[in-house]
Amino acid sequence: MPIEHPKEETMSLLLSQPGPQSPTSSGRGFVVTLLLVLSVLLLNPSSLLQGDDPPPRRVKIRRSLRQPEPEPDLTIPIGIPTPAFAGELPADAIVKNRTGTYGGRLVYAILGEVDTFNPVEPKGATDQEIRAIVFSGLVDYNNGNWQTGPEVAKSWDVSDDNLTWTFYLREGIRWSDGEPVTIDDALFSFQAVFHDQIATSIKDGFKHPETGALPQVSIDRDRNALIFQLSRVDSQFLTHIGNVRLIPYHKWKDHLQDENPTLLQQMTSNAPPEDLVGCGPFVLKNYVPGEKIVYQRNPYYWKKDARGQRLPYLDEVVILLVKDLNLQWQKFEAGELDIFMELPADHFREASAMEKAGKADLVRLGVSLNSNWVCFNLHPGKDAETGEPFVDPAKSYWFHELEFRKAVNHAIDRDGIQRTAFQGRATPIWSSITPGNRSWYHKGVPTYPHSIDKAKEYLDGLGWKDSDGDGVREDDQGRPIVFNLNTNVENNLRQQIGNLIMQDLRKVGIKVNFKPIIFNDLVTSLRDSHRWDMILLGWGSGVPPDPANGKNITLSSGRLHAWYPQQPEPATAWESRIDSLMTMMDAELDDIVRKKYYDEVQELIGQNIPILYLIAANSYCTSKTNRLGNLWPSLLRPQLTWNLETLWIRD
Amino acid sequence: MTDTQPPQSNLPPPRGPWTMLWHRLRKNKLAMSGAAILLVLYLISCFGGFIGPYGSNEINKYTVKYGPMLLGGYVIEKIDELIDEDENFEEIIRDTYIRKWEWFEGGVHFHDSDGNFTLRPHVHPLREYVSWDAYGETEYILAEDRSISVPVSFFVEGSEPHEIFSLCGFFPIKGLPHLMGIAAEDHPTGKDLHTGLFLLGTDILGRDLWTRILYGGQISLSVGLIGILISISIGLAIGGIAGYFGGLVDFWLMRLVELLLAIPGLYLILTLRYAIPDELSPRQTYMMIVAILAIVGWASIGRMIRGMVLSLRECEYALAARALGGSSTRVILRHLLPNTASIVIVTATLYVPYYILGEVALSFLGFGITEPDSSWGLLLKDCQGSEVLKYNPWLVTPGLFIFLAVLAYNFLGDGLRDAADPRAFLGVSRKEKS
Repeated sequence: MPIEHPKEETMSLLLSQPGPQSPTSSGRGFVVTLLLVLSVLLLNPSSLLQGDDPPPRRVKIRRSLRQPEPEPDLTIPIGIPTPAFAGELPADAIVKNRTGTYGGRLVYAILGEVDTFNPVEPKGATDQEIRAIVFSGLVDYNNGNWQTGPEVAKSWDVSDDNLTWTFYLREGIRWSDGEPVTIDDALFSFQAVFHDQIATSIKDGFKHPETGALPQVSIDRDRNALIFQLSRVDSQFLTHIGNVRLIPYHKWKDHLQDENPTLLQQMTSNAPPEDLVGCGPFVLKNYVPGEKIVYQRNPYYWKKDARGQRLPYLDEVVILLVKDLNLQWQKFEAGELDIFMELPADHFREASAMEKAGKADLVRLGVSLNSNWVCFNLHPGKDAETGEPFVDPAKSYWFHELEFRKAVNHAIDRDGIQRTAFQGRATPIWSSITPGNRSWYHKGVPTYPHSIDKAKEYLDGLGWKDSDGDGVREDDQGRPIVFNLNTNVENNLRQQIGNLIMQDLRKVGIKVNFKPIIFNDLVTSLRDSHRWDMILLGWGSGVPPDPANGKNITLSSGRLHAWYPQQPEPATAWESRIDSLMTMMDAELDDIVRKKYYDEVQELIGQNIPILYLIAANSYCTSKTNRLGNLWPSLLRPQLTWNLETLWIRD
Repeated sequence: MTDTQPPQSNLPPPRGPWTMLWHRLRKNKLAMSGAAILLVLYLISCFGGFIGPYGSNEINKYTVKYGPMLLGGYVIEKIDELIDEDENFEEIIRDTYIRKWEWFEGGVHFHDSDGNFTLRPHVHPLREYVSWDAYGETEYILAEDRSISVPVSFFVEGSEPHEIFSLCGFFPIKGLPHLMGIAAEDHPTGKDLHTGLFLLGTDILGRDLWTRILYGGQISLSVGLIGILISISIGLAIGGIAGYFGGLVDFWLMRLVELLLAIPGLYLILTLRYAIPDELSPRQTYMMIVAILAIVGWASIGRMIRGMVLSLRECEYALAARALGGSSTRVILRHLLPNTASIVIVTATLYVPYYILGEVALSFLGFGITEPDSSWGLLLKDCQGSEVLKYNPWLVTPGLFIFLAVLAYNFLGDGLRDAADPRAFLGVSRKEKS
């Protein structure tokens, strides 16, 4: 679970075109300066003056936001694929229950920039996202039904002790250069990831938490199978397997030397496109740094649809690299992009207006998996150089008081935040797992509904009262309760939330100095310098949305264990219990039992509230009206393009 | 003693250079209107706490993004009726609303609840409607309740002591009264009713924009003034020394100036901003911005002063002062710099807008004034993104104030330059003679 990156802000004010309307003055208004009127007029208030309205209609509210799986339609034309397919369709081909028409190109935009195309070591989120277009793994996570399914491996089985996993490879499928995909390729790909001298984050998932041992890989040529021997039971093993993308042995065998392997210097962002040999649905056609990535159909792709036609349907996929969200949105509005994923809250009204005008489909995905939270610094440590404590002893004393944290939690008006910052399009949350996460959401987490009286009661109970009448309470040693709240200045929404929290706490006699700072400084102080009092930030969710992916947050030794990271040993009994619950979760394959463990984790955090979860926004995507077939939107990234091989363009 | 007095003359008394400057400036209508605008802007900013109906950061969760009451008001219109079911599968009708802006209808008006005309301005209270969409998502919509009119009172008492007068946040005089507002006893009681006097609308946190603009003006307008004072002082010192001494001193000081001028301004500002720690109180942030702008801005002024001093030091009076044994300090301070005064004043006036815009740029980018304080640049920060311009165009009003202030300074500066121009002097005096 990464820290949610701040949305890129625009640096330019873009004025819209002057509108045709003129005001109809009835003369009853107040006299104002002409300039004021003119300027407001110039800024196009046409949207304020809505035109013809449709008559009231009666519709039934459709509350289920679960996106249905697309159904095949055998009547649509087949079309002609350009470039055409090559090679024979493998006997083992995966059959997708879809239909579509060949041709067309899909254009969308992403925020980041490509660091490398090498699937062994994806560096940023962008690399992660785009490598799935060219490279396939043994198994694949289906964002639509939230399950891991077979991909290059046609099936797998697990031994009774859950330590030996055998993956059976599909036969007759080919790389994008026409060579067959063999068991040697699969073995080679895992050897590359497990190589001593290749540092890749993919490897970390396989490591034994204590010994660091990696699974033993071997092959069984008779059964065409890859066998993994694990040193511990790992519930996330399939996810880790899916993270490893296959690369061709015949192409890179000379680059995996025992000493100083040169594999990571291959398939970089300036490698020739034909070097990127994979078995995914598309191959790289053209990459212009800072501008776009163009993919075309992999002629040897090995999946077929309900009519026996080979996939993918799209001739081309174009990803524009646009560094600014507002710019991306303008491109979508201008019709340059077919889809727009992760609609920012401040473009909702425009998107909804486009929907009403029939220009775009607004996909409502329900409550997002990303959470916003505030957290107190509970770090008891001291700066190694100066010997000063990270947190002022007085503040540390308040923050460690559970009653104080409860008071703060009661004082924060989540409904107010929802109404103000999100205009109603958000849901208050009490745990890192939002209601959007159908598999892991737990209703039994303690809640602290907004109540100023209760907050005051808790503070009075501690004996922290406003003795000098300045509106700020003093603690039992007479120190006024004043501390700082930081958030990242790039995110307007969080600035609003911070401002509201400041106001809420002022009402119960706690003075908060709200200071938005630069994101990088914020993360540095959170992770390294530990010099902060209270922080407002958010977690983004990983794929799959399994809490085991959030171990760096939940475990007391985790680097993002926000309130006191990288503890040498659990600081409290409940953190120690959480650690052991997380370990038990790892060793359990039954998701029902695992959920029970994690429910307890959520309850423990809810009871001790070192971190106060606030609110999760609703999630939206947009696409051009009726432009794409087989769209199956998902809450998980990439929301609309995860099933790229079955998307097709309606024209 | 009376015989020592000069003989009476019909000619007007001789005027000093400042009087003449003022005399000529007064004839320049554009410059005078600029000065008048500035005077008004500075006055209302100083009295911002009193003129504004609310506190500087008075958040109201229920009045978010409401339009300017001076220009009209929102009315609600029902679009759809949606059928919903509760837990017992009983049908509930949910309404979908949209709101429409009506120009010069509602808002600030002059009739009471019964529709009778009065001289006292009234406003309608705002009612909150919950609008449902076909997916069960709700939105809160705020519109006027035209059936009720609430009188606007003058000299009402605010809920908390706030500043009545202050010089850009310094030396505040605190008190309770606001120039106008809605008296607590006039607030209509009722669920979902939220009354307020929002002349220029409210911002994204439901704060009164007019109040925020007034408080923001204290910062935005004074940053320019204090900044230019500092950089003029540095410029005078460096320019005076370089011009007077010449030689190596001049050479190195001018290289320093060129170095500063060679760096693009905004980047230098941003770099300096990064060099300063984030742990600053609002007052320190303010001083920091002033300091950054001054450090970046003195170079071109210094260069100009140096050029003037260079030519002035060869004038007879300067030579005489030196010949009579005047010290360097005395010659620079008493004889050379005073003679640059008119050009310094003109330059300063013309440079203030750059400082105002500098603060705006810094705050807009998030490196200057931050919430919960207010400045015009910070207020404009809310206007990023096309949606605001489409749906909440009144949030751009702070930009209008920036525009006004910058324009006024330029008018005034131009007028001052014309008035201080010695060539213009001849023309005017000739006209006066004829």
